Amino acid sequence: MTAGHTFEPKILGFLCNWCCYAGADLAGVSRFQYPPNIRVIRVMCSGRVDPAHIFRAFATGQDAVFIGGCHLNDCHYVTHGNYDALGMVYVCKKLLEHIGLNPERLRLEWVSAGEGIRFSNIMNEIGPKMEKLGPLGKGEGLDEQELKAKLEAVTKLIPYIKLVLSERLRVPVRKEEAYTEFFTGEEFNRLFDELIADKLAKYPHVSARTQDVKKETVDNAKIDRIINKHKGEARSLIQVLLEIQKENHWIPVEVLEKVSKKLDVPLSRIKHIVTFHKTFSLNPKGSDE
Amino acid sequence: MPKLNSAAELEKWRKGVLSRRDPDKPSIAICAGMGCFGHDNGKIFAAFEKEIDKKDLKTKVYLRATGCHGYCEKGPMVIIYPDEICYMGVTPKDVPEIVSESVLGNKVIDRLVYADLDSGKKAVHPSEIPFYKNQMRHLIGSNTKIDPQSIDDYLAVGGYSALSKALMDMSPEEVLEEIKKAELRGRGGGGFPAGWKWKTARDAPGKEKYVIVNAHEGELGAFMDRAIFTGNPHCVLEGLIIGAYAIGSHQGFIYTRHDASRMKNNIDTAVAKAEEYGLLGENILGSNFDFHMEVHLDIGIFVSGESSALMRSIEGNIPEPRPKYIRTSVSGIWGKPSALNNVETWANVPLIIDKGAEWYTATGTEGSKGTKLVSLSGNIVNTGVAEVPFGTTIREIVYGIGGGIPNGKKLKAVHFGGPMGGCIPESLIDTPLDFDELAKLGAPIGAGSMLVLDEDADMVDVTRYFLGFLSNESCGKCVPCREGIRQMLKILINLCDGKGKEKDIELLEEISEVTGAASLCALGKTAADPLLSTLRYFRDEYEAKIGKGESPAEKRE
Repeated sequence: MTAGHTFEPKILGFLCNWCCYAGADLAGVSRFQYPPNIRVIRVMCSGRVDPAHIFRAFATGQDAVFIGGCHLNDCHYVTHGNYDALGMVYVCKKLLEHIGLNPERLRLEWVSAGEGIRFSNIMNEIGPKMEKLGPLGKGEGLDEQELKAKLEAVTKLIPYIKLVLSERLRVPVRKEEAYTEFFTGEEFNRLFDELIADKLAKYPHVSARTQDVKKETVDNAKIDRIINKHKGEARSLIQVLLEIQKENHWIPVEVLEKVSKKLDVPLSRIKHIVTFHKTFSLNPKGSDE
Repeated sequence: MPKLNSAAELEKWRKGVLSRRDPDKPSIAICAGMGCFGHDNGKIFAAFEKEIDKKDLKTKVYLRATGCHGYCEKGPMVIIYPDEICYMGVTPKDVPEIVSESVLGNKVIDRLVYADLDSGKKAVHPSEIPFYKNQMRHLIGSNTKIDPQSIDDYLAVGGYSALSKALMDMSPEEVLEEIKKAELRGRGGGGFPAGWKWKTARDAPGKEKYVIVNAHEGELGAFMDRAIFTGNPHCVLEGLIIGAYAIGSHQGFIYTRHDASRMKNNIDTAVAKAEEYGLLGENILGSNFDFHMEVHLDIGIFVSGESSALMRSIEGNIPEPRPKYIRTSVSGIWGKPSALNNVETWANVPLIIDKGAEWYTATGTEGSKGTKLVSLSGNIVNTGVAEVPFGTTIREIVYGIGGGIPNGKKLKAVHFGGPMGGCIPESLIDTPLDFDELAKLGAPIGAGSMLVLDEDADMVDVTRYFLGFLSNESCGKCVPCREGIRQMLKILINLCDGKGKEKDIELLEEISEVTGAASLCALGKTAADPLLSTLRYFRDEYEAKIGKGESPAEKRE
C-alpha cells in the first residue's frame, strides 16, 4: 500500500432476486449514489445463502458480506426463506465473534423492490463503517496465518454447524419476536458453546495441523491403484466410485476431481452420481457403518 | 489345471471328478443361504469341522456349505447324504450327536426332523416332507449338492454338458430355435418370450452385441434369484454363454447388488473358475467361440433393476430409465443390441438345451411353460423358496407347500409382484399359476414373490406401504411418477390415519390413470397396480376409512 492510499473495503453482497436485487436495480436506475465497494451476487432467496458461502467469501479476501432479502413475512416463497437467513446470520455472527473477527462484517438487511433509496442509504452507511474496521483480520489484530487457520477450521465444521442449526437451533414459530428472543437468549449461548465452540476448540489454530488432517483422509496410492485396476476407463466410473467408498468410507472432493481427470469424465457427472444415493458419502464417516 | 480344449476333454474331466467321489461316503450339506446365514450357520459349519477333526473323519466324510435349500422357515438346515436325512433348526450343540448318530451310525435323530404341525407325524426325507414333495425342483434341486465355490461340484451333477452340446452339436440358429420352441418366457416380471428377444438382438444390425444377467432382484419379497445365483452360479453362467452363442454376442455383463457380498464372492469365484477351465474366455472348448464376462455392481436403488436404467448404469452413468420407443434388444448399452434377462430365465436355458424343448414344454400350461421359483413370505407357516410347475394352483402353493396360515387365521389375499403387482383374494386362489391368467385378474406374477396376507391385514395399509417404498425409489425423472406417487401416498396416509375425505377414492383412481399412462418406465406405470388391485377386491375397506376411520377388521372386534 502506498502512503496516502486509503483502504477500500471489498464487500460481497448476496441479494435476493425478488426484493433486494430489484431494489438495488431501482437505486441504480434512479441514480442514487453509493460507494462502489459492493459486488453483487443474485440469489433466488436470501434463505439460499449458506454459511459456506459467507466463510468462503471471507477466506478469499472479502472484508465484509452483505445479505439482502425481502422483509420478514414477505418472502416470495411459501417456505419463508428469509427466516432461515435470519437464523443462519445470528449463528454466523457468533462464529465470527468467536474466532476474533468483528461480527459487524456480516450484515443482514431487508430491502423491498421499491426501496431503492433505502438500499443506497444502507450502502452509504456500510462503506465508511467497513473502512474504519480495516482489512479483514488486520483490523482485529490477527495475523494472516492465524486468520487463514481459523477460517479453515470453521469451514471444515460447517456441515456439522448446519446440522446443529436445523436440529437444535430451530425456532418453531416464524415470527420475528420469537427469533430475536431465542437468539439473544441464554439458551442459544449455551447451545453454541456446548455444541459448536467445543468442537471448534479441537482444531488448534496452526495451519500445519489442518494439513495433517487432510493427509490422513486421502491415501493417493490407494486411489491410484483402484483407478488403474479398472484401466482408467470412463465406463468403469461407478465401479471405481464404489470401491473408493468401500475402502475409504467416504470420498473427499479432491478424489472426485482426481477421478474426473483420470477417467476423463466431467466432474458434474461424477457429482450427480455421488449425490444421488446414500451409498456414497462426501463427508468423513466412521469405519463402522 | 490345464484348460479344457474340447467336449471330449470336458467329459474326461467330469468322469475323473465322478470317479474320485464315492457315492456311498456320507456327505453333509449345510445350507449357507441368506436365511440360514442369519441363523448363524457359520457356527454350525465350524462345529462340524471341529467334530470331524476330533473324530478323524476328514477323509471319510464330505462336508459342504451349499446354496440355499429353500426351506428358510426351518433353517439352519443340514442334509445328510446318501440317505437324504433332513435336519431342521440345527444348533451347534446338536452337531456331535448328528455326527455320531447319523454320519457314523445309521440312526435318525427324531427331535431334529420335520414334524407336521397338527398331527406331529415325522418326515425324514424330502420325498416325505410336504414342503419339498409338492415341488418340482428342476432348477433349485441341485443346490443341496453343490458348494458354490467349487466348479467340480457343478460338473459332478452334469453341469456344462448343455454348453458343450450347444457349441459342438448345434448352430447358433438351432439353439435359438430350441429356446423359441420351448416358449421360455422371461422370469423377471415381464414374461416376454426370451426366444423373440434373442432373435431381435441377433437380427439387429451391428457386430457387437451384449448379453446381460439382471441379478438386481429389487422386488420386495423376492429372494429366489439370490438363492439360485448364490447357490449355483454356474448354471446361470452356462445359460448366459449358451445365450450369447445363440445371439452372436462376445461380451456379457452380470449386474448385481453392491451389498450382497456373498453372492458377489460366489459369482467372482465362479467366473474365475470357468475361465480357468476354459469354459469362458477365448476359444471355449475349442469351438472358436469367444466370450468374456464382466461383473458390475449397482449403487443401491430399486430403479437400477429396470432394463434401460441398468444399461445406463453399466455405461457408467446414473441409472435413469428411458422411454422404450426403440427396444433395448436393438439399442442397449452404448447403443448396441443387448439382450437382458433375469437370473432364473438364464438358469432355465441349460435345462432346455440338455433335455430338449419337447421335454420342457410338457410341464406348465398353454401360455406358460416350465417351472417357476416363488418366494413365500408373510403370514404363512413355511417361508422359503419353492419351485413349482406353471399350472399349480395358488391354493396348492399356499396350503400344500406353504403349510397354510399360522395361528389358525384365515387367508385374506396373496400379493404377487411386490410394489408393482397386485393381490389375489382368497375367493380366487384356485387360479393356476400362469402369466396370463394372473395378469387378467390384475395381479401379474412379477418376479414370483408371494406375500401371503391373513385376515388381520389392512389392505389400505399394505398399499400405503408399497407406495411409500416406490415414492422413495422413484428416480424423479418424469413428473407423473415423481409427483403422482407422492400425491397418492399423501391421500393413502390420510386414509390410514382416519382423515379420509369424500371423493378420495375417485381421486386416487384418476391419478393412477395418469401415472399408468404417462410414466416413462415400468416403475411409474405399475406403481398404482397394488392400489387398483386392492380397490378391485377390497373396495369396502377403503370406503370404511372415509370419514369414519374404522376398518372392517376393527369392526369385527
